[in-house]
Amino acid sequence: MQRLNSDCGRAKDTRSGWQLIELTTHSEGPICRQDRDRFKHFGSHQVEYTKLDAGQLDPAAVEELYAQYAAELRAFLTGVLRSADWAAEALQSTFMKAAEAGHTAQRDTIKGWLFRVAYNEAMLLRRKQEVDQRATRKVAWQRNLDHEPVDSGLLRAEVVERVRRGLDVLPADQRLVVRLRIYEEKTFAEIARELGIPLGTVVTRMRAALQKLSRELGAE
Amino acid sequence: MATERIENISDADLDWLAFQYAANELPGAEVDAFDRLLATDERACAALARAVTLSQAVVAAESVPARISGVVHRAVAVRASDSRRFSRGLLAATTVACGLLFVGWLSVRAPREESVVPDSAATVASLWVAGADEDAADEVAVPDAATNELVEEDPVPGWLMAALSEQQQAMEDEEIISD
Repeated sequence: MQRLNSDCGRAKDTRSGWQLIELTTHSEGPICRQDRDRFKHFGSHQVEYTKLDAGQLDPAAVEELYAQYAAELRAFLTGVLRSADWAAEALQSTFMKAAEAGHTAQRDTIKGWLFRVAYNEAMLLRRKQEVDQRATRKVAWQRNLDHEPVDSGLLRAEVVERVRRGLDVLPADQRLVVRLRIYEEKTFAEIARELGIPLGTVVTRMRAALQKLSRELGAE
Repeated sequence: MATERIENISDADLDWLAFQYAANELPGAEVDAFDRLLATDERACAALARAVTLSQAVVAAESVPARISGVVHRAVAVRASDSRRFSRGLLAATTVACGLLFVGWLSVRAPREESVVPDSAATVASLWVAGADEDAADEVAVPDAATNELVEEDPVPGWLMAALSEQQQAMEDEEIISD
């Protein structure tokens, strides 16, 4: 699947009124668009000809939206889909929709509009994959980091450092619960059994720790 | 959990709900309700994004020290293993060296012991004086042969003279008895 990149190249084609958008080829796969005639291959690159009209967002505006919201949308989509690959696919579709119909959204509500589009794309993907999420439901975070370096842009090193600082100042009992729940992916019930403490105590410690970590994360 | 109720909850409660959703800790009915909320509520979407980002950051933060400490543990284990190996080698070498020293000491010591076994009180006395002379040869000036300074400077100790006189007395007694 080709992914729309925030640093995609642009150039005016010789045909008047057409905009050439270069899509970086990250991986092999089918094009997630119905109108395949708009795509042409040039070596390792694939380009899309789109006719600019009054209803479309300028590519620069799409890039700006991408730079501003892509990380948050990707995290949201990962939470919904439990898959980094699906999240990336849904993210790409979301920004394609933004390029086509983003002009319909008000500037001050564009974030909510992007979330709704992303959610719809995620639901579409779920139905396409025909996978019962309940049956295969897993935590939303672990698998996503397995093949991604910390500073890849998906998760900024600065964010990790903030959370690390937050973890360092947590009380030991709270930090232990955080580690067992998030890093070791044990359920609250398993943690309660392992530590020999009530389930309510585990939940209380986790919640208190998350509030502190969220404050640390939001302190940027 | 009804959508209407969720919409009225605070950011902190929404964050907690989103984390439970991401952690797969919500009951089925609440998952459905939260899913529906995500379709319409920007706050819920943002809360879920925060929950995922925070959890990913925790995993990353916990992973790095784990990798580092793993390396340290391995290094310590290697050092400990090396240390044990070194200690065993040192012990073996020390044992061999001590053995060799002991054998060497025995080989040097044995002829001396044979030569110093006295067969009479007079021999003991003469060996004492000779030994004293050898030991002090470097430090003590050579005595004048004409005088008896050597005896005066290196006197036979009283206990030795007493032992010699007792031995002499015993020999004389034995001779009387045998006569």
